[in-house]
Amino acid sequence: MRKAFFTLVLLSLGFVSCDNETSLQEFYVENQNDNQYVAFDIPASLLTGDNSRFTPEQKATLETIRKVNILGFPKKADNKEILAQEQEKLARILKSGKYNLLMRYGGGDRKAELYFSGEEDAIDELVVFGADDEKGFGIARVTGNDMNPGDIIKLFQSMDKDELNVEGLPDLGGMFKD
Amino acid sequence: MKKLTLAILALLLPFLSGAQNFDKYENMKDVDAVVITSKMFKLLTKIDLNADDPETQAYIDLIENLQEMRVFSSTQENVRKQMSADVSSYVKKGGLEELMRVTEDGKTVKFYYKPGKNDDYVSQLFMFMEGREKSKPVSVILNISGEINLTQISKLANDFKIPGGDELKKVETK
Repeated sequence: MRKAFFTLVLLSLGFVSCDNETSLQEFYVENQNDNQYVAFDIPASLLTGDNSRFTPEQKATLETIRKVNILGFPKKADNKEILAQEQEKLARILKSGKYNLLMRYGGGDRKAELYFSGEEDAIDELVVFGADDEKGFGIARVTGNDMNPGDIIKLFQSMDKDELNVEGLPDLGGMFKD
Repeated sequence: MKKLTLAILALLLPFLSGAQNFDKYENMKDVDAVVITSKMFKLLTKIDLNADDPETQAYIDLIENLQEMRVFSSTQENVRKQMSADVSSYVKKGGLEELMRVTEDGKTVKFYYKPGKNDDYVSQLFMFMEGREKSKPVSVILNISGEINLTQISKLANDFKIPGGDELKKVETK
C-alpha cells in the first residue's frame, strides 16, 4: 500500500519537474545544426522580393510573417531511439501551455497537430507538427507580428492550389527521402 | 491508510470514467481521429465571413459557442465492435437522450444529446454511425460539446469534411 502511495508521489513529482521547460525557439537553436535534423529557414523577405509573383494582397499578408522555420527528423535505420526521445521532447514543449491546440489528427501511421500562440485575431506563431511512423517527424513554425488568421489561411489555400509557385523554396517533400 | 486509498480513488474516479469518453481511440492505429478545439472554432469565425447577413451571424454564434469536436472512425471489425459496445454503455451511463435515429441504405445513424439552456440548444451532441464507405464497413463516432444551436448545426457539415459530417445535415429541430 505504502508503495503505491510512494509511486503516486513520484508521479506527481514527475509532472512538477516538467516545468523547467525549454521553449520551441531553444529547441530550434539547439537542433538546427544537429546532423540528425534537417533544417530550413525561410525569411519572408525571400518571398516578397521584387520579382515574386504575388498579388499586393498576398504581399501584405506575407509582410506580417517574419520567417518560416522547418525542422525535420527523418527516420533512419539506426536512429529509432533518438527519434522517439526527440519527438517526446518536442511533444512536451508543445503541451507546455504556451501553445493553443487548434486541431489534431491521427490515423494509421500518421499524426498531425496544429497549434498557435498569441491572440485569436493576432497570431504570433503558428506551429504545424507532423509525424509518420515510417518517415520520421517534422515541425514547421511560422512566426510573425499580429498575423491575421484569415489572411494566413487564405495564403495557404492559394499555395495549395498551386497558384503560388515560390522559386527558391526547397522541395519539402524531398526532405524525407533517403 | 485504507481511508486514504478510498479518498484517492474517489478523486481519481471522475478521471477514470472520463476515459470512458473514447479517449483510448485517439491513439489506436486502426482509428482515424480528429479533434477540433474551441480555439479553432474561434479562429474560423475570423475568416471570410460576412457578419452583416443575419444567417451568417447565426452561424458565427454557433461556431463561437462550440467547445470541442471529436471524430473517431474505423473500418476494422474488432474496433467497430468495441465502439458499438462502448457507445451503448456510454449512452446509458452518461444520461444522454435520444434525438433521432435514421436507417437507410444499410446505414444506421443515431443521434443523442444532453439538454442545454432551452429547446433549441443542447450542450452535447453525440452521433454514432454504422455504415459503409467505399464498400468497406465503417463506424463513426462524432461528439460535439458546447452550446449547440440545433437549428444551425447542419451547416457545419459544409465546412468540415469529416467522416459522418454529412449526417449532421439530417439533424432537425424537435
